[in-house]
Amino acid sequence: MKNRLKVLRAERDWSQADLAERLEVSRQSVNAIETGKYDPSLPLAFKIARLFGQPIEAIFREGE
Amino acid sequence: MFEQRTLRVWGYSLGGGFVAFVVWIGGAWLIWGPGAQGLGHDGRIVATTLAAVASMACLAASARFAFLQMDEFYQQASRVAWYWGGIVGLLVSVPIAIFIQFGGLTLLAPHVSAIHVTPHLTPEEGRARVAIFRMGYLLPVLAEGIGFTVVAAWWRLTKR
Repeated sequence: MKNRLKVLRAERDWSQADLAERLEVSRQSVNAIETGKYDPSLPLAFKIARLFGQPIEAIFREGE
Repeated sequence: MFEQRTLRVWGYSLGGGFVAFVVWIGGAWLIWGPGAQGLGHDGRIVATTLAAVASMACLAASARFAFLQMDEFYQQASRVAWYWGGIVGLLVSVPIAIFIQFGGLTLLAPHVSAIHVTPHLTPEEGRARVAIFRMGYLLPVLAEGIGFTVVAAWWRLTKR
């Protein structure tokens, strides 16, 4: 699944560690999500959407 | 350098392992030490087994606490590792166990084979030792299979 997490993070000048702290996950989790190697659970996806103030569909989209 | 979460996971894992070890060693010393003469041999066997149960309960508790400290990414990693690692480990162990059971170690190190270490070993004693080895190998395998079946059934029942 593709996502705009890295772009949204860069817009706020957050590091992966900063984002991880806000989401209460590990930095490795953030990295894995950004690189598309791991798809977050629904609760985490909703948390990400709430954090960036955008709907889930605006952040995540289906793709290879 | 390390995230607080990672340190907590390691803390629970190592701490739990240490506590389990202390419970086991302390129990064994109390049961088999010089001050436990009145327990009798059978009583000591039961008490030692109970100490092992207590030790494993400590490990189980620490494993649960460590797992709960992980975020979803590492929890998923743990599940995948246990599932595939467990299956592959089991599959690899089968030919090794068969190799040992049929005396394959004598091919690797003939000078330290059981025949030379215990020259008076009778065929019946040899068969008994093979049976003990087979039981020692199968016990954790069966336990793993039963554990998997029980947890899989629990999962299905609770998700209805």
